[in-house]
Amino acid sequence: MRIFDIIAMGTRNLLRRKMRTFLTVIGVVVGSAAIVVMVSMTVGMNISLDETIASMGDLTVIQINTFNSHQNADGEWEYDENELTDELFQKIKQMDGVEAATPLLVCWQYDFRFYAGRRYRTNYSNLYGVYPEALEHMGITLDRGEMPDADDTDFVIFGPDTVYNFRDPNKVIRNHYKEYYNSDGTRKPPKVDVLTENIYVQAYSYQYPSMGNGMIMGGGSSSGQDRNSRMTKHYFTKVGVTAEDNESDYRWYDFIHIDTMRDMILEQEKAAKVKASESQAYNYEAIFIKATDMAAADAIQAELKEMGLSINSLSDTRKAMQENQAAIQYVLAGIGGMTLLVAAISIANTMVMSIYERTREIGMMKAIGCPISSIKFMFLYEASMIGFMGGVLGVGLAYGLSYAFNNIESLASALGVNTMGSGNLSVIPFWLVILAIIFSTLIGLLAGYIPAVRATKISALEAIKSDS
Amino acid sequence: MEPIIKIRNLRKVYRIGSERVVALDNIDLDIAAGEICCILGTSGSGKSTLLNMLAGLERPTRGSVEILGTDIARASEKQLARFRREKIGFIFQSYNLLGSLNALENVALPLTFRRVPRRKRELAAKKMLKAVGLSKHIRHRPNQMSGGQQQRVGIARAYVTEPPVVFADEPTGNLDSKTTVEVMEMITAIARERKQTLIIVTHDREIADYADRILFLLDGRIESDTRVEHPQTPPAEPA
Ligand SMILES: Nc1ncnc2c1ncn2[C@@H]1O[C@H](COP(=O)(O)OP(=O)(O)OP(=O)(O)O)[C@@H](O)[C@H]1O
Ligand SMILES: [Mg+2]
Repeated sequence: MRIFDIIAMGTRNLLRRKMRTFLTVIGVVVGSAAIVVMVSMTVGMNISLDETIASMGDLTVIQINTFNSHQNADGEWEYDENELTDELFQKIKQMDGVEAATPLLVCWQYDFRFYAGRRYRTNYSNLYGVYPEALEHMGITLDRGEMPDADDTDFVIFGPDTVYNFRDPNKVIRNHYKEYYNSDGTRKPPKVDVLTENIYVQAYSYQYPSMGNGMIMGGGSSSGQDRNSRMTKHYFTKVGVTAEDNESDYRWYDFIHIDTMRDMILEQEKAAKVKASESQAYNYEAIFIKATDMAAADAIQAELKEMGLSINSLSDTRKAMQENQAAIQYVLAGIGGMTLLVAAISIANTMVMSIYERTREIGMMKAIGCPISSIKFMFLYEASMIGFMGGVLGVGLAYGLSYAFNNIESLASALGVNTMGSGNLSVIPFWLVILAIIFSTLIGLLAGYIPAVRATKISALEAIKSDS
Repeated sequence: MEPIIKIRNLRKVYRIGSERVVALDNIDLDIAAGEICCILGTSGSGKSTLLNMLAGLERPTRGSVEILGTDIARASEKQLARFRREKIGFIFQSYNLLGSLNALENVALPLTFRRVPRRKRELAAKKMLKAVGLSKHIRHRPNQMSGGQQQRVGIARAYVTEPPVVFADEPTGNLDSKTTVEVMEMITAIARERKQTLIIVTHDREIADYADRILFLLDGRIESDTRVEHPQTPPAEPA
C-alpha cells in the first residue's frame, strides 16, 4: 500500500470511533501538558536562578583567597588558609580554559607614596600589584584616563576615592572640613588632576635600618629618611581613574604593574637586608582567574580543589541552589512522567480494543492480499497519531496553564519556588514544544507497537469464520 | 492443456487435544483455466478447508497445492500475501466489506493494496460497480446497503484486479433465494466473460447448476467429479 493510502485509512479508523479516540487523546493531552508544565517550571526556575546568580557576579570568575571562609555541611563556618605561591600562579596560568589570570600582590611592610608634581603626594596607598590583562575581567572600568594594554608596564589606576589622598604635606590645615568640602556640603575636587600631573611612586619604609638605634639618633646619610628618598622613583605613562559608580570593592584601591611593585619591595628589602625567605615580594593576597566559559570555570575549580585549595565560587553557590531546586524538579518530573505513562497504557489499551473489534476486517484484508507491513504501519500510525494529537493539544493546554501560573502570585510562593529575577515560574522554550510533541508521538508509537505486531499475526481465516 | 490448479496428495488433519479430525484425506485434483467449479458437500465434509488450502489461507498437513506454477503450501507468509494480492480474488459469505469505506473504496481496496494510484483504481472500481449494477450506490457505505447489494460490492471487489482465479465460500449463504439467483448469475457471468477460473463452495445443490464441473465432497474425500457440458443458460428460477 502507498503510505498516503495507509494514512487515509488509519485516519478513517480513528474517526470511526470518535469518542474513544477523543478520550484516549485526552489522556495524552493531560500527560504531555503535565510534562511540559513540569519542565517549563524547571526551566523557569533555572532561569531565575541564573539571573539571581548573574546579579551576584560573573560565573566565569574564580578567586582564590589566602583566607577562605565557608560553611561546611553542618552549616558551621570554617576558615581555611591557602598558600598562594608564584609557582601555583604559574601553574594556574597554564591550565586549559584560563583566559586571564593575575595574582594580587599586597605589601604590609612598606607604604607606597604617589607624588604629583613637586607639591602633592599621598601618605599611603592600598596598592595591588597586578598583571594588566586581568584588570577588565576583575570588573574594573575606567571613568577617565586610559586602560593599560596587556604589555603595558608603566600604568597606574587610581580609585575614585584615592585621588583625594593627594595633599600638600607642608600645608598646615586648620579646618579639615573647609579644606575638603564646600559650604553646601559637597566635596571639593581633588587637589590634583592625576591625568595631567607627572605622577610617580616611591616605596616608603617607617622601619629604620636594622643596624641599631644609635644610627638613627646619629642621623647622617644612613638614616631611614635618606634611604627612603634614595628609592627608585617609578614614573607612569598611562594613568586611569576607575568609575565612580563602580560598585566593586576596588574603588578604595590603586593598581600598578606587579613587577613594578615587586621591584620596589625588593629594593626596600635589600636596603634593610631582609632575608629572602622573609621577603614579601611574592605575598599574594589572592589569585584572580577568568575562565573562557562556565564549563571551563567548573573544570578549573575542580582542578584547584584537587590541588587542595579552598575556594568559594559563584558556580558553587549556583550548584548548591540548583541542588535545592532539584528536589522539587524531581517531584515535578515524576508527576509528569506518571501521567504520561498512564496515557501510554491508555493508548495501548485503545489499540488492543481496536484490534479485537477489527479482527475480522484485518483477516479479510490479509485474505485479499494486504501486505503485512501495511497492516503494521497502519496500527503504528493510528497509535502515534493519538500521541501526536495529544502532544499538540497538550502543548496548547500547557501554554494556558503556564500563563495562569505566571500570573497567579500566590502560586509560586505556595510551591516554595525561588522566583527572584524575571519572576516567571514557568517558561516554555521552543525546543520544549517540539520535544513534547515528538515525545508524545513516540509514546504513541511505542504503546502501539505490540498491538500492531499482534494485528499482523491475525489469521486471514478470521474473515471466513461464520460467526460475525 | 496444463491445469491452472494442481493438487496432489493433499491432506489436512486438525488436532483438538488428543482428538484428530481428518478434514481432507488425500485429495488429488486438477482444475483447468477458465473452469467454473462447484464444490458441494454436507456440512463438515471439508469444503471450506479445501478452499482455504487453495487460496493459501491455511497450510496443508501434507501434499502440495500448485497454482499458476507456484507451490503455495511451501510459500512464506509474505509470498502468500503477494500471491493472494496478485493472483486471486475472494468472495466471502458475510461480504466482509470495510465499514468505514464506501462502495467505491471497498471495491478499489485490492488495487490500493497493489499500490495503484487513486484515480486509476477508482476508475476501475467504478467500471466494476457498473458491471454489478451498483452505479447509483458508489458512495454508499456497507451499512446503507442490502445484503444482496453488499455481496455485489464484494463480487466487484473480487473481480476488480482481474485475477486468474476467484474463490467464493458460500457466497449466497446469507441471501434469500431471489437474490441468490441474481448473485450467482453475476458471479458466473463475469467469470465466463473474462475466462477466469472460479471455484465456489456451497451446500446448495441448485447453485451447482451454474457450474461446468461439480465436485462432491464427503468426509474429506472427493466422492464424485462431474462435468456439465455447455450449460448455456442457467435453469429458470421458479417464481
Ligand atoms: N480450525 C479447525 N480446527 C479444528 N477442526 C476444524 C477446523 N476447521 C475445520 N475443522 C473440522 O474439519 C472438518 C471440515 O470442516 P469444514 O469447515 O471444511 O467443513 P465445511 O464442509 O465447510 O462445512 P460447512 O458446510 O458447515 O461450512 C469438520 O469436521 C470441522 O470440524
Ligand atoms: Mg464451510
